Amino acid sequence: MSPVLELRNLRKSFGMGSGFANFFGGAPQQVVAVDGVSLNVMPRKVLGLVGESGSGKSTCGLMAMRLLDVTSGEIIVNGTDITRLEPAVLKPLRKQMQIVFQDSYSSLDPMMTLSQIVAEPFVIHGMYTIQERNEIVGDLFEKVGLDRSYRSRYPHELSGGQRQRISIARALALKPDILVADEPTSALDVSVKAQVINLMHDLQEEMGLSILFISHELNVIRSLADEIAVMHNGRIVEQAPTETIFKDAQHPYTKSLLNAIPSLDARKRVRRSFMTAEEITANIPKVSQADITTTANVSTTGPQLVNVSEDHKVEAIVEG
Amino acid sequence: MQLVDIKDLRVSFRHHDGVVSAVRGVTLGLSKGESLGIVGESGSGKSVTFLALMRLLQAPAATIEADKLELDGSDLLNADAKALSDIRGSLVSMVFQDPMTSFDPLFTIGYQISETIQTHGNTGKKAALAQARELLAKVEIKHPDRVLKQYPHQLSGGMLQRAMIAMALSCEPRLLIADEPTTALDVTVQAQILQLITDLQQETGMSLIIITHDLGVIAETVDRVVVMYGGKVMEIGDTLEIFEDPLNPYTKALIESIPGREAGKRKLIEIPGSSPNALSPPSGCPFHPRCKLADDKCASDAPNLSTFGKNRSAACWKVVQ
Amino acid sequence: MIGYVLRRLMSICVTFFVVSVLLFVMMHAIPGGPFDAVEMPLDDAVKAKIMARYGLDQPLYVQYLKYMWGVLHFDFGIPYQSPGETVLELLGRAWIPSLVLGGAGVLIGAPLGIALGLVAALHRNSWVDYVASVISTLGLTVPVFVTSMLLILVFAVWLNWLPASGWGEPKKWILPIVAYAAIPMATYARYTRSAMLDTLNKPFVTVLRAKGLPERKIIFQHVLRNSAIPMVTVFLPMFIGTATGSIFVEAMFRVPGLGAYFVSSIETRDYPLEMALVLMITVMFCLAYFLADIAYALLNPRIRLGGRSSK
Repeated sequence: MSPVLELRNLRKSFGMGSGFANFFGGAPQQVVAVDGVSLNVMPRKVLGLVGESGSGKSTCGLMAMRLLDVTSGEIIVNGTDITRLEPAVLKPLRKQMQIVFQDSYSSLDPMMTLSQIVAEPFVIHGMYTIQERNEIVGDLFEKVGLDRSYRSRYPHELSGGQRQRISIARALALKPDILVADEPTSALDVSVKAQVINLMHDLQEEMGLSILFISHELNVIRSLADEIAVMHNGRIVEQAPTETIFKDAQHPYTKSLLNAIPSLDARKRVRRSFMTAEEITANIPKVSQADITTTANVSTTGPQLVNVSEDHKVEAIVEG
Repeated sequence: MQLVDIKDLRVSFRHHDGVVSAVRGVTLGLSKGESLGIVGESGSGKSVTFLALMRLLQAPAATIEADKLELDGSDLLNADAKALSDIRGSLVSMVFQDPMTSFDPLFTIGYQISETIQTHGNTGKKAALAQARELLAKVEIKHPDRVLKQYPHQLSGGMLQRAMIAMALSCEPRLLIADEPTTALDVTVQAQILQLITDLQQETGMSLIIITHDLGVIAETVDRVVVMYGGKVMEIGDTLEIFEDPLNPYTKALIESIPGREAGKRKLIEIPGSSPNALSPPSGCPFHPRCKLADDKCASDAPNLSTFGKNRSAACWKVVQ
Repeated sequence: MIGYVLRRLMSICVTFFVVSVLLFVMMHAIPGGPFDAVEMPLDDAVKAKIMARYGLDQPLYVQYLKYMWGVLHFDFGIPYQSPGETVLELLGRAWIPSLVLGGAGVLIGAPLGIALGLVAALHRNSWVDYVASVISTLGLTVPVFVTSMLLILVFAVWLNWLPASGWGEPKKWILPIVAYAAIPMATYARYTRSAMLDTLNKPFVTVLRAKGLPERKIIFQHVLRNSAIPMVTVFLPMFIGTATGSIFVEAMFRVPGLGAYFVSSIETRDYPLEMALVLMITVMFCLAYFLADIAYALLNPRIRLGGRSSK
């Protein structure tokens, strides 16, 4: 089975400072946001991409959607390399991938009614008659749990959770194969988070959707993702099925993320110790060629992503 | 005598569309040395309650009324500007959510901390700066001398929050109010900051109020919990009891809807509907439109906080003894 | 920082040259020339000779280059309408009254305006704010020649306290300066009020109160400084811009400043004078923005020091 979305060795660097500044000397600074990320999202599966701010996870999501230019690497959707396609060629392919953002307030046009927002994809791609569009929009409203009477309302009249439902409805209008969700629940109240997560659950099953779920909330990802990839400083440091991450994390950074999750058991109040960035780097697992199941480049110094078991990858230093 | 004594606090805001009742009759208390968690979602009135206590809300936009609004026995409702300035920063300090916007961008960290010290005492500039350095070290900042001379934009969120805590503790307050102190921070930093706050609380014996929407924070840090919703108090109790045996259906539903408590990919127990509209809050119990157990009485009469045991109270018609 | 300054200076030079080219082309694009007077038509041969003397028969780019060459040597040519002196001498003579008028107007209007704006912001939505807003709106909307006429009517005609026109003695300066000061006062009042209100709404002000700082200290130590940054970047160009005086006020009060020449030099196609006047203003504005940028960099630690250094 081939993946719906494949990211191959994605790299993104931002040059800081204006060209004028560089003219007068001073080397232009480069910030490497994403440093060689490879990911596969399989059909009908949810991949959770976890990381803190600055990890590069959102940048990956934006690049996957071709909303941000790629410095190097490839993006392959349903077998087609879309990395450098011209906008005109890319446009029809965009139907296969859609995105939902964190801030529902600023990602919905305040001057458009809700039904106009959800129908806009059809307008852009020249699909269906007006009659048909109305029908489909109504169905979509129902699907995301919003009353059809809301069609002529405006975004500012809705609550955060409801706006997020509209964002999802709009994303699903074109029946994409893959949905990229960039922190869709982070700005929501606790009681609403569950609603949106359950909605994504249902839609994923019903429509056979694949989801790349980007978030810093590990506990949210736990209830939704089949597989988790942990990002740190622009690279993937660990990737494994969800419960493997929670029960058998190997990389010190993953462990520190898990350590930081508060337990809900008020009885067990433990004093925790925290690792500094230096400690994390110092504790990167060291493995030998025999331990891993993929052939690693022993001559490369520095950590690389290797398979410690068939479905569990960890960034480690390979020795001998 | 209670350190904080609030009885029937009502806070409303003038809005161009009408009047927003942010706090609708809140009663709660805090003893010396105690740690209290205020948990609620957006629109619950949790932050406004304590901004009102500190009289940090600006009239004429905000109207504050209460039967009692006392801190360490002194009335705060009718206190004048001088009395308030004296209390703020020295008797009670506050730490806010976003450290990036909480500092004056034009002054160094050292200046802003020593400014607090000098405001509440007769310390000279040099001595105040030295104290500031000590405080920075206490909050586990590694290079205090360097940080003293830096400007807010040069520090990360975690470091700024530590500096803000240092600033809040500079005059040895008896009460520290932390309003969502970790929400704007990275996950790993959040846990560290929380631990720092609880460590400092135990060390100094001061009282602590943590306002948050995160039940995990509550479980880890405080002794007692107040659950708020729609501008009212839903339940009060010891942390352990709240988690093991929540009385109010809202508390129960909130705890059940927390994602990731159990292993495996699964659907969560959700709470239908959305938070109440602050301009026209529901009649009766604010939670009744979303509550599985609600009946006509819940919709018409707002339940009062009734006691159900030692340190335990809940506002709900459906709670059985 | 040095790089920042150098970059700004470079852009000023570029602006100067672009303006000079545009101006030169536009000037010559207006039909008619300086010696086409209808009242005393010149004989064609005579006209041709005069044109040749002033170099007006040469191709445009040659004229431009010759002119700019002169400019670089501070030689701005001779005004056609008063060939007895050089452009520089004319400017020197006429600029002073304009400078006094404009300078005094701004020096009086600005502090008044800032004070008005401060008071309005600190007593927001009260009657004080309302009165201050009305005053500043009047200052901006009532045309300056109406104000001038009113002032002349009241103080010169009815009360006979002050002279109505002329420029010789200081007594004659009062009315025109007052008439002129209304605009800077109004503008500064509005900017100050909005800059202050912006700052007062920022979260760190609440934190300052929570620290127990007295309100006075918060306003004068913190809020004012934070408001100063947006204010400075607007005020410096305004200041220098208004220091050139006003055509209307000069006309109403018969002040012998540059005002009249701005209009006449275009009407009479007095190319050298026109160029010199506009280039002068260009340089002044560029300088003003340059100084404002420097001030901004000095006041704002973010620009001064750069970004994040600790983690």
